[in-house]
Amino acid sequence: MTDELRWHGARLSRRSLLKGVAMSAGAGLLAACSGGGTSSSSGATTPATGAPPASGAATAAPAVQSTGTATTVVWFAARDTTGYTPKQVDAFNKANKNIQIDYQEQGAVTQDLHDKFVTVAGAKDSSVDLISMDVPYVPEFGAAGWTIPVDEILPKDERAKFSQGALNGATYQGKLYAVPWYNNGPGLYYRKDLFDAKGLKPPKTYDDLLNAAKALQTADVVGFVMQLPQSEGGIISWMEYLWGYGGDMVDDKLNVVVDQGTAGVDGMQRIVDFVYKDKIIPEAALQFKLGADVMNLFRGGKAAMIRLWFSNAGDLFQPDSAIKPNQWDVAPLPSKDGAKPGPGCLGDWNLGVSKFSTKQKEALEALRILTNQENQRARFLDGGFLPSRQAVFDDPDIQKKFPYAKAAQASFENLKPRPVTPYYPDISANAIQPAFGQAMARQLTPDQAIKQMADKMRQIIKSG
Amino acid sequence: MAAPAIVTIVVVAVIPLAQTIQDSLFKISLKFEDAPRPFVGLDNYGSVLSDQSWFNALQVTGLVAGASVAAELVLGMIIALLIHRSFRGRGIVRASVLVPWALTTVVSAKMWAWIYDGRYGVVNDLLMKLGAIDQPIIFLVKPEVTIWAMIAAEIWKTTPFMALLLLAGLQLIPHELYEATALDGASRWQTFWRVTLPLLKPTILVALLFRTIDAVRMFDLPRVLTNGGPGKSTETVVLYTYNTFFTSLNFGYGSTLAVMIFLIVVFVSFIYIKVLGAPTQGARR
Repeated sequence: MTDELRWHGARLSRRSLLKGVAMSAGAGLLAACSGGGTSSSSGATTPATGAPPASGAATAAPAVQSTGTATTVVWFAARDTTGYTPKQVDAFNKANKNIQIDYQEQGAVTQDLHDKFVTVAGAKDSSVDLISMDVPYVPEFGAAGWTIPVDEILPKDERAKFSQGALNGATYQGKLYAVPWYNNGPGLYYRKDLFDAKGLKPPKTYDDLLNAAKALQTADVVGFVMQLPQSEGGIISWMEYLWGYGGDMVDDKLNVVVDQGTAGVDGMQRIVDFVYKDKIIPEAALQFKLGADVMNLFRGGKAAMIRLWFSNAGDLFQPDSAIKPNQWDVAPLPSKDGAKPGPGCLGDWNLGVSKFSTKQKEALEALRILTNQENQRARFLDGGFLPSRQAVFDDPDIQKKFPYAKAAQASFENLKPRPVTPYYPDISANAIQPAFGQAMARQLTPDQAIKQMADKMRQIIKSG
Repeated sequence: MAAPAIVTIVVVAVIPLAQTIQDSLFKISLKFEDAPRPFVGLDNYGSVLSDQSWFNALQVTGLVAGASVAAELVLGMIIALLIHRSFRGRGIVRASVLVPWALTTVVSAKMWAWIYDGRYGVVNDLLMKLGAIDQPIIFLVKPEVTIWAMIAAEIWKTTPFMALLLLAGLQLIPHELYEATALDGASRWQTFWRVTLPLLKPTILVALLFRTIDAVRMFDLPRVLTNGGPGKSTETVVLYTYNTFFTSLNFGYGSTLAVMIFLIVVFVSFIYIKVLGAPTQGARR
């Protein structure tokens, strides 16, 4: 083969490379790049063959324009894996002429929502009006001056209708910085059919839990699952055991107490043992970043018990759930001695309004409507999200569809919040999560992990 | 005529950089509204020198950048040499080689998270079928494995870029030279070492520079794949800086860390250009 031919070959295939590139839809970027690399830019003007017909754009346009005189408020929210919230927003937009909600989910894990709002609010930007908040974000955003007090939309008599625990979680320094949107806490979901078949009762103590899991575990069904990744979801699982063994993270004066006594170490050791020694929790739980990961295992019939939020229950009512409503139930969390249910973490979600919003009036109104009785009832009935308004629990339709509703309501009275301080998100991400992650990967013993965690927490609180 | 270009550079590069350098001299915490923002001089830079998390991140970044760029250079060279030859369907092959690089990193990171998944992941499935392991490995939570899993994903993703640059360099080498070496009876190996490699050196330098700077700034892959875990074993310098800004809300110290990244990148560029660049330029003339 001569050089001449080779050169021709090279040219030809450069052209066919461009053709291939255009076909694989990355046209602009790649054509530009290969043009630069081969000193031949003849193909750069190749039109994008895969461009959609103009009608696609045309049909999308009227929807945007139809808002007319209405004010659109932008709502930053965390991913709703049940898919219910977008439907609720559609209903809201149909029912309200003056206010339209532009609902925007910000990533799969709640940290994404947090970071996105920090970016926007840190720049004092007005592009967010309504913001969903996990419990720790309420004091954080309030202290930073990024959200406004919302006391005005909940007068005293209205406020009395909400769960007190949820209200406490939405309060910072005596002011309400958010309205509890739905209430949430953990429960022990268990397979009633499997328990009945073995004549077992839902476990009341951690030891009961271990025994039941061992009795029910098969090659196909794991005994117990909870979220154990290096994330907020993972450390909550451990914090409940820390509380269960009588410990706490910080005291009222923000002194770190997690390394005092043995509760932190004992709680962590228990979970590590569940995974590696007793082998009732699959190691895969270390990568279950979403509650939905745990739920998918349970509703697929692959787990005898799971510790999960009540807000995930909606999935069990979907037609594609392998286990049916008569096969499962939810019990209170087990505890160390079984005298009382074990402590659960307050996991409700709140809605607040950005200080930098230019549409605060409309955002507050949207917030008031979204958290009213009617919307909370619909959200429970159709989405499975438990309400922060107590009266919703008394609704006969609700009680009929959700037999566990009353038990959940009672359990909500005993939930504990994570440390209520603007330092918490920093402490969580940089002190608790890394130490917990290393303990779960058996890189550190629980002893070492708790010590490292406590030292880092003190350092963060001291340096601000 | 240069005014628009200068304005653009000032607006998108100089001003943010100056602002970041200025912020790095203050203690700025957004945790509390109206918190004082005292001038602390170079204190933040002093803190970097005693910050274990930063040195850990530096180590992680060095390992990831070194291992991935070295592997990419070798693999990229092999791929470039292969697709430089003519064969049927070369256009398709060249285009398809680029697919990993054309994918958004977040998307490919998610994909790799599934590939490494402990229950459903294809890697575990293959290893189990081959009998190499009898229990699935949870790749992304085992410290000794995780970082290599991440490096593998990075190599997969950016080797095409390396190959593309090297291919461009190969096409610049005049074929008369190959003809001459063939006449002189040089083996393929000799041709590669004596002709291809020396003439490719400027291209290799550029490719290494681009890739090393990119690897030093690695953020999206660890953020999505591991978020720095387990512990902080895959936390890169940029991820640590990001966390300092957005979860610790320490914008002063965060700016200091950002300036450090800038200095590292300048340093890496300097090394490449001074140490590798000068003799190459001389040899070419």
